[in-house]
Amino acid sequence: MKELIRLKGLDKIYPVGGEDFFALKNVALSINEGEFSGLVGPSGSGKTTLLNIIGALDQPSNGDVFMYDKRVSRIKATLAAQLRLHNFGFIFQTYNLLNVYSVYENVELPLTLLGWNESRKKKAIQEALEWVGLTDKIKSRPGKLSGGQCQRVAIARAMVKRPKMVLADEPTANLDSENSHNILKTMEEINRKTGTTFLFSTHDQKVIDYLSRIISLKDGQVIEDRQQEPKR
Amino acid sequence: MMVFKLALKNLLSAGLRTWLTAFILSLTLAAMLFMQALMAGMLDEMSTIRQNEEIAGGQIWHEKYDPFDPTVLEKANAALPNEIQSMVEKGDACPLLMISGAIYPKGRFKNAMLKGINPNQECLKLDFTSLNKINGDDRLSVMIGKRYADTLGMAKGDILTIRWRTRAGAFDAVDAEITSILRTNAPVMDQGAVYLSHEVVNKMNGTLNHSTLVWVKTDRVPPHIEGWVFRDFMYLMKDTLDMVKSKQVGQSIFYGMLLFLGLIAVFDTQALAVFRRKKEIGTFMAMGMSNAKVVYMFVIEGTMYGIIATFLTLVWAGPLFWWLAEAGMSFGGASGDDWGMAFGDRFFPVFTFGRVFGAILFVNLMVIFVSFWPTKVITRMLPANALRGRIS
Repeated sequence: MKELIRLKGLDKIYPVGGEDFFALKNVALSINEGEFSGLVGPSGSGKTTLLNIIGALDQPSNGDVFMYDKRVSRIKATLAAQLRLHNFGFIFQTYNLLNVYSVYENVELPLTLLGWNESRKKKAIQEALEWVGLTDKIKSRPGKLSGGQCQRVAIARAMVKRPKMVLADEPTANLDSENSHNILKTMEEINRKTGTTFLFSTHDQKVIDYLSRIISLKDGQVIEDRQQEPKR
Repeated sequence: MMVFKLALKNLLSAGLRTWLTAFILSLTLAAMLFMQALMAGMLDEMSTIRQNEEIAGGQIWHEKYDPFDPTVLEKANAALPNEIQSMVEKGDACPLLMISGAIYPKGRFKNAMLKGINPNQECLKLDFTSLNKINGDDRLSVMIGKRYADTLGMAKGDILTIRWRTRAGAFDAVDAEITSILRTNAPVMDQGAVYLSHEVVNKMNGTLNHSTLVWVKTDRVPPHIEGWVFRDFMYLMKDTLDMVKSKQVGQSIFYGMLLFLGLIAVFDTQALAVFRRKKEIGTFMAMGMSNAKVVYMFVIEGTMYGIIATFLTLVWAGPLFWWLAEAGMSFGGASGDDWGMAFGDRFFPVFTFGRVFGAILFVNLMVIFVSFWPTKVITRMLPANALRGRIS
């Protein structure tokens, strides 16, 4: 499989009380196309920070991020926005749906930013909502949906533009067990059907059971990187 | 277009908040417009009144005449030179002779300015023809202004004694009858003035066809006349214009405060939105919206507040202002009489296209500025921090 992301000597340093705090320290790893992998570790281990840097939402203090062998760290904000727009889909713990928009409009937004025409958008949105089973809720506002339904809208929004990679930050943290399994099944299915790369940040065992690769972090460092047969 | 649609969607989705903010801005705009129009209306009215009833097209003064120095009045008159006399004969100029005197209304003593004017003059839009009236017992015909009459407690038909000092230095006195009350809104023409015919005052002064000043109908006067000085309309209006200018400074402070309050509403909406909507902004950025587009979206939102406020103002204040401009307005019976200024008991605000357009443009530019400024904060924000709710 082709290498999608490579991290080299990555540090993320925050000044805390006049001293440097290493949220990430000398992280080096690579992620291939089509992987269904996860950054695993306790709170404060640097999972979300690493996910944000990979997704060009944050910048490393030292080291580099490469995408298809092209350095994408420390690029201008405009280029970073373009990188996110064309390559990444994001799924957040708190869904981050726009409450004033309907389900359809939320899913539509990335395509609007991409400048797709109406008919192309409509087809893609229909397909994305079919994947997550929400075709009957297109006019609903997020406030009228359950947590599980909101997260499924977020998955549809992340997937609708068929990104190279979906970055999911604790996607099941606010969901009950049944909803968590449904969401994970949906994402695994999409991964299998479309070949989209998924990278999770999690400490939820239910999520870990679905992963085929586990990258364990502790105190900002990768302490283990192993493949596994999904246990679900 | 996409950003415009998103901004419009955000604005419409905000519902009541949008309308309240726009309404406050609309009140500010209306207040600014109204105060500007009222001041312009007052200036217009004062100009018109002073032109019609006090200044005409300008005045030619005897070189010694100083309206602020009554002691020179005795020497500040002379026979008119030919150039001016020919204007008087053609009806293009009207002479006035002023001498100091005193009156004794109902036995009381009051200083007065005795003003001799041609009763049939056509330079001022005031009627002095009752000075032509011939009274019994050789009483002179005089006119006094309404507010002076009120002050003295006198009315048409009342008799008063006039005393003055002749050119030779002797004091003389005569009885006069008030043949008419002069109705004028120009305070200078009213307070302390007793009008008699030009000929009579010349006789009282022991002079023949002397004048202190001459009103002219237009400012087309001979360029230089020995012993006489032409004062044009703008010169004679200077005190009013200075007063309006000083009022405008105070007024600017007042509507500056109003504008500040209105802009605070927009700034509050926009600046607070940066904090309240930081997660939403982070989400937009995470999905690939550039910082510039985020700024653009917020500026468009702010601009739309201005546009909605303008539209609201035109809808609710437009008809009201039109009506006020037509019907005028009164401030509980107060008038120029109370303030010593030349206007009547109704105020007519003047709304011109330029003034309305200027105020709208100014308010909208200010709204755009206060929308742009807080969004500069957003442009410095890293998406990860925005998503976490931090401002970097």
